[in-house]
Amino acid sequence: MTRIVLAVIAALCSIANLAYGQQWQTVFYVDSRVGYSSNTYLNPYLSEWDRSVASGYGTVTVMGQTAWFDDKNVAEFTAGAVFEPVFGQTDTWKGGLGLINYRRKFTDNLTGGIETGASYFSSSYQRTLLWAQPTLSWFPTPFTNIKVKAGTNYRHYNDYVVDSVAVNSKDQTGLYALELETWPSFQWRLSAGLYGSLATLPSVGRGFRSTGSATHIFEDGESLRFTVGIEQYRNEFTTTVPDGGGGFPPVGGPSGDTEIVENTNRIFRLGVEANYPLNQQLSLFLNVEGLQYHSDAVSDNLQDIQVSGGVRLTFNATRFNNRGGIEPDWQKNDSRQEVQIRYAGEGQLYLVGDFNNWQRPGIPLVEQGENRYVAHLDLEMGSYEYKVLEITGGEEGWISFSENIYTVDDGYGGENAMLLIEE
Amino acid sequence: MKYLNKNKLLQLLPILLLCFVGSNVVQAQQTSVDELIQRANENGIDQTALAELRTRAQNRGMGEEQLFNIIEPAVSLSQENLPADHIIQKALEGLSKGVPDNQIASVINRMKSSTQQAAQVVDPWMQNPAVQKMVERSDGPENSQRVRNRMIEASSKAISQNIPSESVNQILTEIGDESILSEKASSDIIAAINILPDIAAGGQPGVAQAFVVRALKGGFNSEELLKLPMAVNMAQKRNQLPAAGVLEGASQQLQNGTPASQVLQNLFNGNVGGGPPGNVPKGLQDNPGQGKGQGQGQGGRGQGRGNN
Repeated sequence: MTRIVLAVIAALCSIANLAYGQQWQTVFYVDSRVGYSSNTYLNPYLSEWDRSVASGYGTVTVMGQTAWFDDKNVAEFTAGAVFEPVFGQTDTWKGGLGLINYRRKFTDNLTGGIETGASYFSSSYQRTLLWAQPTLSWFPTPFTNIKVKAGTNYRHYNDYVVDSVAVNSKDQTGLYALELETWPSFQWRLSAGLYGSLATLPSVGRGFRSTGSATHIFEDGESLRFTVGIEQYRNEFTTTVPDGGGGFPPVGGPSGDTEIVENTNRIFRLGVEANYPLNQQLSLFLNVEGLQYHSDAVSDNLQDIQVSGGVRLTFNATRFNNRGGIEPDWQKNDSRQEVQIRYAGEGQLYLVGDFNNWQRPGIPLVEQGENRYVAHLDLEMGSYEYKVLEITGGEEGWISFSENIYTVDDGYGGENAMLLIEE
Repeated sequence: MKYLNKNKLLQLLPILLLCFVGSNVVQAQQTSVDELIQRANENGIDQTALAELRTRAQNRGMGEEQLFNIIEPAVSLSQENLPADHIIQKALEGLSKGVPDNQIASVINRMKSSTQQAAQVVDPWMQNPAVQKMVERSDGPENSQRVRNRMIEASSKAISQNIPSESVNQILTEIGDESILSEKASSDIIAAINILPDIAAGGQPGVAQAFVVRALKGGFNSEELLKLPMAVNMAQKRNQLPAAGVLEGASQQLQNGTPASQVLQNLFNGNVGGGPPGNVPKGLQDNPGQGKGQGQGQGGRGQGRGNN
């Protein structure tokens, strides 16, 4: 497990370092939770219909993603490892997944690309999935996205027990997906999805999975997510009719004949998840989800539930890009403004801007600690534009700002950082 | 000799005339700049900044005419009771950055025009009772003129960067309701106007307008608003819905703009399940009507075949 995690981190970091100067983002997650599930189908990673393992479980997931992008193209590399002991059972799920997604912007409103991935999970049996789905996304407004995906999915099971017999099986299926995401405001995110096999089209009712969710995001980053889902799968299977089929008029043949029976399984899902960020890195979450299963072949409805909660650690390995630039950090300190800048250059730094009538060299930044420069200013309420000047050996030059700093066009072909001072 | 002298005098006359006129022009320009500065003083323009501007312009060798052209728009604005200090600051900035005189004058003139347009939008809005209440609450009644000037300056910057004054007007109208303004400070509105040109960088002022209005209605403060252009830009570069990135970028609780974590968040929310959704679950496919781990159902046992 440790080796897998280290390999994932090393791989993502090395990808990010391949092209210094390009725009990259890398983020890592560690998600640790405990919970109880009466059906493995409610497990977010496994999604295997198995009601025999109603038990408590724990999960530790390490996942990372690095994304490269320029003005038109985006490539995302995601990898993760999952370790999931099931309490009271000898089985422990272990595995991981990897995704490579590519998107290209055709117009401001239309993008296309491909989503590919692979996952492997192992406990008493092993499951391998491979998939590739070309995608087309349409953004009718900056707040709405409609996505269509269609592609192929390969599934391989080893030692999968059916009727006490371990079998190996594999299948390849064409899958489609239709997804909608819209933001009526910055507080609400609504999403819906319809998924199924291409072979069922145009009769969607032969087999589909539909999901809907509404997420409310509160001011401090807390969120509540409500989910609903309806799934329907029809099976056809042959069965032996013991007495000619029964009923009147009699159907089927004489005793011992077989007939094809169509069976419809329906699953209704309902869930809620709460997220509470403790700080920039740590957040707590609680998830409750239930399902009701109904089949033509059984008289009773079946209910399952999953409850889990835990802690999630987020770590941003890179912030936006590697192009550098300074990030002045302004704080109010005893009614004065204090600015801190981290800079590894050789020269002396000065602040020049509206607050000193753009007089060069400006207000000196004093080095306090290694590569840390500080200055204090008395500023009234207002907005101020400024730049940072570096003087090295009599040579003067403006230092560029990081993309994390808000800058405005200066009208002369350059840019200034902007500072807003409130009462 | 007399003839020669007369001839020479006749030849020198135009030159003397030119010298005389020239010295008068210089004298006139000098007087005009002095007069301008006097008028600027009377109209409340920051004298320190103005004196600084004159000194630096002279040190740089800028002609009086050029200096006149730079100061005049500011004085003209101040006579119309419009803010002018931002014009002097822009001129000082130009000198500090070594911008050519003509370019400084051109930028200053553009700012004068956009300031006048901005005032036509901002002044009627400031009369709105809901706006006056907001200003009184967030800045104090004595600062009403100061807030108005800052609003005009911010709107002027937006207009000078190709945001139509109608767009600015529309935003101010949309957020002019008391129910919205009662929870806002003037600095929030000023920040919103400031960021308009950066969000509209793709040439779509309407899109910028939609973002800004939603953000203000959604309770974003000025600090969060300043992160909006960066987050929108980043999300658009990653071909994602900007809203998710905006939230992450603006939220105090999360690291600056990390739309990537939104993608991973989806994974943790169970959107992957180890693979794409849509397949018949294996347990149901092989044991129709019962699922893996269930007892016998109706209809006997059979060989199942999912419809996928």
